[in-house]
Amino acid sequence: MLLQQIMNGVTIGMTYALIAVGYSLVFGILRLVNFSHGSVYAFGANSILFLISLNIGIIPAILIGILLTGILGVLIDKTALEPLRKKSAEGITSLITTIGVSSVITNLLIARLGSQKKAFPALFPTGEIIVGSIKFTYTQIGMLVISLALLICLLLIVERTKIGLAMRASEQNITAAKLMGINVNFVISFTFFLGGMSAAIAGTLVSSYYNMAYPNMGYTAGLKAFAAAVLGGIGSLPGSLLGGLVVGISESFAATVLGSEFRDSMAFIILICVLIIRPNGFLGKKSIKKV
Amino acid sequence: MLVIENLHTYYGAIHALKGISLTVNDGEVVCLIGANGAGKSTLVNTISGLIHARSGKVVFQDKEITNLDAYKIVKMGLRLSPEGREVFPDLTVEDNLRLGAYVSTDKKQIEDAYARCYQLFPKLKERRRQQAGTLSGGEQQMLAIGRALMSEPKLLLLDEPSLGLAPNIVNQIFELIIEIQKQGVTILLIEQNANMALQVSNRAYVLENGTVGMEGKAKDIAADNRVRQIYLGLK
Ligand SMILES: Nc1ncnc2c1ncn2[C@@H]1O[C@H](COP(=O)(O)OP(=O)(O)O)[C@@H](O)[C@H]1O
Ligand SMILES: [Mg+2]
Repeated sequence: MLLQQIMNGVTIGMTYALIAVGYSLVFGILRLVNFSHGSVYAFGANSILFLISLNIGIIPAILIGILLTGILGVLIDKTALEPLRKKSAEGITSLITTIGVSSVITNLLIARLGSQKKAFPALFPTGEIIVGSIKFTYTQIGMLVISLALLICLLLIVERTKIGLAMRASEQNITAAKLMGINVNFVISFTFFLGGMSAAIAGTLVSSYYNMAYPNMGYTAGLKAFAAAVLGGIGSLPGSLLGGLVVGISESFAATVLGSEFRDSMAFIILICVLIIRPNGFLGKKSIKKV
Repeated sequence: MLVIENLHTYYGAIHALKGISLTVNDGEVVCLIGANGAGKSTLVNTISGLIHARSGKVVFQDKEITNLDAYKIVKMGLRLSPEGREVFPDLTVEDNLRLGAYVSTDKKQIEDAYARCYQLFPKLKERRRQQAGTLSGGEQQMLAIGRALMSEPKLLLLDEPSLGLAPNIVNQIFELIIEIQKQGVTILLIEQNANMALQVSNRAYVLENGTVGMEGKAKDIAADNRVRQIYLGLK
């Protein structure tokens, strides 16, 4: 029972981690909480559902949807945020802009697709493996494997590639990064692209897990993933993973021990408790300051 | 190599550069001296594209680069080692240098650049796996210069390389400037330490309040009475 709860929590927690990396990567470079990220996640799931309905095949629909969501991330930056950076606007201006962008995206989804919940197809065969007292459904295993693989890919990109080095440099000192010959705006676009793609993948996995998608799905998931990112230490990829898992597992317990109405507040209760003790989260750098 | 014509830069309402004109020829070391706040950093930051000029022209190797994005200017072979060093503190020395060669695409060229840099700064080789933030001030300055040299720039702008360093390290920095010039890099040097700067330079400009107050051969500037009083602290 205990192990089963943990297992369920880990599965959903991994998807929070995938959303959290989008907050984390963008925050790392821009010191900006991108509140439009939840709506990007919803866009991912809903656009993929829409593409599936066009009968182009599930896999192509998913791949195109992931790509489109990555591009949406880039567009948000290029149309709404980059112009503000050029004018050296205050941080709060960008923050409010991302909230505005979030409403616009959610509204467009509702206008185009309707606000009702729609059935999302299962991506993995039904069936389960039982190990001791724990039951692993194929869906859970699929979610775990895909999320983990994606997180490892992201980590490799950031730690082992040239563009990743440029991301880490921009994170520390944007001016110095420019002086190295780095096109910082490109690096930022790339970061939004990675965040958008990861969110779309998370959206697909979650929608298939719960068998549904709807335009407002990004609201709670976005906030919880944001909590996970802060909990783990915003700016840190392993932190996002850890934060996602803690949120996922604690939710799973809250739902069984306290009742399912407590599930959605668990992330924030834990967040508040942890931040009082460790203001930078579990794995956060000691002082993230804007250079 | 570098020609600047009537450059004006503002910070909001503050008129920081009020019509600067200046030339740096191939192979020279030219120094820019002037009191704190005279506009020296503003000038090199404008040249490098970090801040934008309101009017005037910057021409580098016969191409106009006024207000181009900073990264494009680096690609053309003009580099700034900024005031305050600005190394990436959480990255290793090696990664800092790798970033210095960011615009190079040729593996061999990058390997050679590392070799040259480690030859010039053996200390950096010893410390290559260490985080740059843990280096001493002098070592960080060496790293900043070494990093700027990684892409084999034609023109190197050095903004106060000796700032805050112990006297023996300052000497090393100036020896290094002569060595870099010998390797064929043209240098525009900003210095508070006008005395030393004038000794290693061919020509000099004195910046006063956002304008060029004086220019000439370094020897002549060093012999000028007013310069001796104000900038060299001599009578
Ligand atoms: N970011 C800035 N915002 C507003 N004013 C600035 C800024 N940077 C420099 N200044 C002003 O511009 C003038 C020139 O500064 P600077 O170029 O840094 O001088 P220097 O490098 O010769 O000491 C000074 O009056 C300074 O106060
Ligand atoms: Mg200065």
